[in-house]
Amino acid sequence: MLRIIGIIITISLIGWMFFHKKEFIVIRRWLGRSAKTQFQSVRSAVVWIVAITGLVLALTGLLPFLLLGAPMSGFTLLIHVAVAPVFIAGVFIVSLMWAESHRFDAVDWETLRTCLTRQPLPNEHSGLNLWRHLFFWLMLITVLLLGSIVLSMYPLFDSIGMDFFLNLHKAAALLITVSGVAYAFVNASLPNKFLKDKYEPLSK
Amino acid sequence: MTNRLFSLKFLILCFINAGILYSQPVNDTQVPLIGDISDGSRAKPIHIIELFDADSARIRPTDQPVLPFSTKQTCLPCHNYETIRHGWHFNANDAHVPAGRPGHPWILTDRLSATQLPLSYREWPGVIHPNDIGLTPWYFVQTFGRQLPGGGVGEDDTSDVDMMYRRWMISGKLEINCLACHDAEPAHQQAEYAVATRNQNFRWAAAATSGFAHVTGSTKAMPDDYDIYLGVAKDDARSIPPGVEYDDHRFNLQGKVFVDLVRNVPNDRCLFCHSTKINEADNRWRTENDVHLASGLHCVDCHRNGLDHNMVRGDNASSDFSCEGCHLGNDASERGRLGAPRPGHTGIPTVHFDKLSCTACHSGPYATKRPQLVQTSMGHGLGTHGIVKADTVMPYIISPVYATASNGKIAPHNLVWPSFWGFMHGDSIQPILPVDVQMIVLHFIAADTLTDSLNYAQINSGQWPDLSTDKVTSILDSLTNADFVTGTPVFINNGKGYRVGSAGLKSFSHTMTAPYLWPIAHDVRPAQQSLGASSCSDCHSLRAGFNFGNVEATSPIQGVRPISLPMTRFQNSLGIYARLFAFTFLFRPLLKIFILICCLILLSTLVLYFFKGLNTISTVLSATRREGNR
Repeated sequence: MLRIIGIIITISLIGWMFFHKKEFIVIRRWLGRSAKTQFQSVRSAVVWIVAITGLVLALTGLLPFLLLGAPMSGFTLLIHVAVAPVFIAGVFIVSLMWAESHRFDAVDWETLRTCLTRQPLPNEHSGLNLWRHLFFWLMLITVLLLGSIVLSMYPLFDSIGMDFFLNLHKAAALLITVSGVAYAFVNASLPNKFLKDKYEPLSK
Repeated sequence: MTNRLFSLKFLILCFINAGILYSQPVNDTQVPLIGDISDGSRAKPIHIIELFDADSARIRPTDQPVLPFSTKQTCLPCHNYETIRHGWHFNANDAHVPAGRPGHPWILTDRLSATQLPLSYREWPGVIHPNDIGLTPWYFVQTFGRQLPGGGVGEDDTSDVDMMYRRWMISGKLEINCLACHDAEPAHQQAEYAVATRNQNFRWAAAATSGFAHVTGSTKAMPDDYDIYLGVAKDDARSIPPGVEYDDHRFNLQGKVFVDLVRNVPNDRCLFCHSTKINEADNRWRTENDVHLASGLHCVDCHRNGLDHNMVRGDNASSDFSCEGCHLGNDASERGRLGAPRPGHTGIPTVHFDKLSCTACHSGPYATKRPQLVQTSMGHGLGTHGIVKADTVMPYIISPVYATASNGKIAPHNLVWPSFWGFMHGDSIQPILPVDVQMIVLHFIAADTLTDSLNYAQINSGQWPDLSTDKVTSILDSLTNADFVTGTPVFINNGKGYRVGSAGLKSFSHTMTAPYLWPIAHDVRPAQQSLGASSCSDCHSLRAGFNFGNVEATSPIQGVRPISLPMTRFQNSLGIYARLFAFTFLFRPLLKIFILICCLILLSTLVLYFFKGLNTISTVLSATRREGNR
């Protein structure tokens, strides 16, 4: 019954949107812009979606465990399960878009070497930039987060294996949350000019 | 002087003797007797024993009058009866014994008055104490003695001593019937126990079941002044007095009898009182047995007990003798017991083990959208003579109902909706015994009980009669004038209460209208037939009975819609949540593929940039080396 209602609502919505597409001012404006601007807006929208869904996932996943000491259940679990696919899609897109710009490069190597030899950094922001790269790649531990949960959806592992995957999911989630927060903090600390200058060659 | 010294010595000796006598444990509950202590031999102890009657007199088959053997007096020389009588099967009426988790109640059933009332001496929530409805031990034993193991309430002749003193004197106590469990003789006939208790032949009941005695007559037909030693006058042509005949050949030259008693109770002995019949199942030859019994185990391999006879009920997960104890092992030993296979539970998320009992997936009838009617030995007297074998016979026990048990886990339960006539006094409802209300009900349905009526056929097939709302109203009106009714007459049925209001029959809610549930653990199905073995949709599907079954009440009132409760109501969860969660499983296959693709691409990205990173490091290191060389 629910399935039929869902299908009817979805078809009605798509039909309504199709016949009234010109009335969507935001979409019309967006369609009128250049391809580069369109891409930029999609990119920032995806980032926001990842951030928001990630926050929802972190709250629904970690809070019951931290506050109640119990695994999530009920509507918390439903929200977690419903939001997760959106987050996964977002992370997937973000990783493809941002991987190149977050590569460890010669500057990072120099920064690392300077740090190890305890010499003053050539640029005050280069240290933060190294952290920024590091946290980005740590966030891509998402692959463990996803892998652990998708593997436990198949009848491949016994209780011990399932328990291991659940714990792996929890640990990966914690690491990603911390990395995400740290990444946002580092990103906010770096001036826009620095980021722009640094990535100017890449955008050429 | 000598006399005085002698007197003093005599006095001292008397004191010493008295001291010794008083310090001797007399029938001490803590002292095991010779038969209670094992010498380590695993061989079956052979019981070639003397039989004693209730007066401790030795029985010879040629005695006149010949009396039935008393299990208490016969076993007492070697076994501590006092310790045993506190065991789980016998201690229900002991107020000091913790009630434990809810179990199978005794169900007071009367077809004519549409009564099915769960009773228990244990303080299980939802049951009624027999004393509260005026069912004294005397009547309780007669009503339910068919599956009572004796002892406990059967020996409680003090509660209704004023009214039933003479009857107790004639019938004797219903002592613990050791044979009910421990007799391995093929000729043991437990069904005779039901006949004996129904005929008030309590002291003859154990002998009636044995293979070497034959009980005749009925105490019920005897007058209050009947003397079991004198018998009836020869010219008294009334009913046959109770009597027993022994098989002479079973007594050896020493006057002893071989009784085939075993330590490990045979399954048949347990199943006489603990069988379940699924009504809607196919023919019996096609139904399955409990997987443990099919594997050759005995009931008592898990449901063990010591001398105290406090049976392992299997509900304590930390016990050695629970599902977990045998199949997973406890903290001390992970080897389990009895060679039980360790379950893999492949692909089952571990949260299931926090929320479900083992029995939820493995026990009871298979989950269906509409739980089935089942019959049980204790509820329907299965195995006794003269019962109605129709599937529709009262009491109506519904199974399986997946409800949250007292340990917080969901487990399969049996359920019975209470149905009885009573009266409301303030906020409390006092049930009326069927015997008191029967005549009033019969008055209003008399025409319906003629041989060609539908109700006659129904009552004969074990069902309750059809009652119209008018008839219920009339019966309730009549009850108002009954002298035993001291409040507003009510009829509890269909999960509601009914009383006569200004506009006719009016329904209301009350705590006593709630169904009584008790967890079940048998029959255990093998792993391949457990819930979740084929897929998640065994439970997480809108078609699954586990979450989306409806528990319906049955009602004799025509035109009243039977109440139907969703299974989630018993699981303390919201139906909408269960539906939404099940709905997510429609998309799960797609989600799995999507996540796998995402994982693959993310992994590829990571690998790609890992090698790119290596390339960078290699390039930087080469450049540094070249600069160093310059």
